[in-house]
Amino acid sequence: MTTKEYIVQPYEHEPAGNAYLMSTVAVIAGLPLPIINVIASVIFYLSNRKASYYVRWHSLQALIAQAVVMPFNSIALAWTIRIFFEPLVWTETRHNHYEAHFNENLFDFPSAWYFIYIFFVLALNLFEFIGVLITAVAVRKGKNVRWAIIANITDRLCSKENRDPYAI
Amino acid sequence: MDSQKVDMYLMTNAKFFSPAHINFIRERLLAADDSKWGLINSVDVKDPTTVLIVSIFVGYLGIDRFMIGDTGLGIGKLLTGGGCGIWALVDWFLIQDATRQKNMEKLQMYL
Repeated sequence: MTTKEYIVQPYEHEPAGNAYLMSTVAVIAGLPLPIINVIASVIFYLSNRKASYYVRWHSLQALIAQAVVMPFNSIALAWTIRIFFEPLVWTETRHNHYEAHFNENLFDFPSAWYFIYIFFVLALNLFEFIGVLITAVAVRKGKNVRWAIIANITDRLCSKENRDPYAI
Repeated sequence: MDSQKVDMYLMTNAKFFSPAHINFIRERLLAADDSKWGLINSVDVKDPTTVLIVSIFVGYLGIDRFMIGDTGLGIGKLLTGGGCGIWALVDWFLIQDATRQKNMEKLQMYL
């Protein structure tokens, strides 16, 4: 069996780069809720299902990159909300609140672990944000940027089928 | 169809179609009958840049989708307030290609 080599056309660079650009804009727009970035990337990928392989591949890589960060962000958000609202639930024991809950639940007060985790999540997000920005610029210039591990998963998931009905 | 007419059509309207489809349009126009010239010229193609501007300002009301003929998606976008803003945001990056695709579908009916 022979496989036809895929040649990336110049007009594909811009829509492929838009996948990353869109996710950076979505990060700014949906900052408090981590799920918004993933939803935006899913909508973008679904709308590009009939696009060329190159555009679909980069849409999927952008989506997986967002999906990897989402669980960390969701845990950080849930932990923060729990710390904010937990004192309201235990108003009757406010006088010895921290002492009482130290032995009960580590997640109920802003412990050192909480700050370490938040710092880790912020660093991860910053790293991802800068990575996505660099990728957006590079892909738009025609460079095929492959993220470690994520690119291999994308290779497996993305179909090479030509879905353009008007292709010659 | 006469190659001069085809070239004239492409020079005037190439920006309304995806670059990937220009060769397809050219081949089909050359193979088309001269009697279709009037019909092909009367196809109402939308300018992707105009639709993008509409999408930026009133995208959350789905006007951009109504403009290009996606009535179902337009109603969906209108009722959800642009998908709570997410869909409207994603459409800023998608609407130009969607417009070119719709233009191609409109032209395809007469090719």
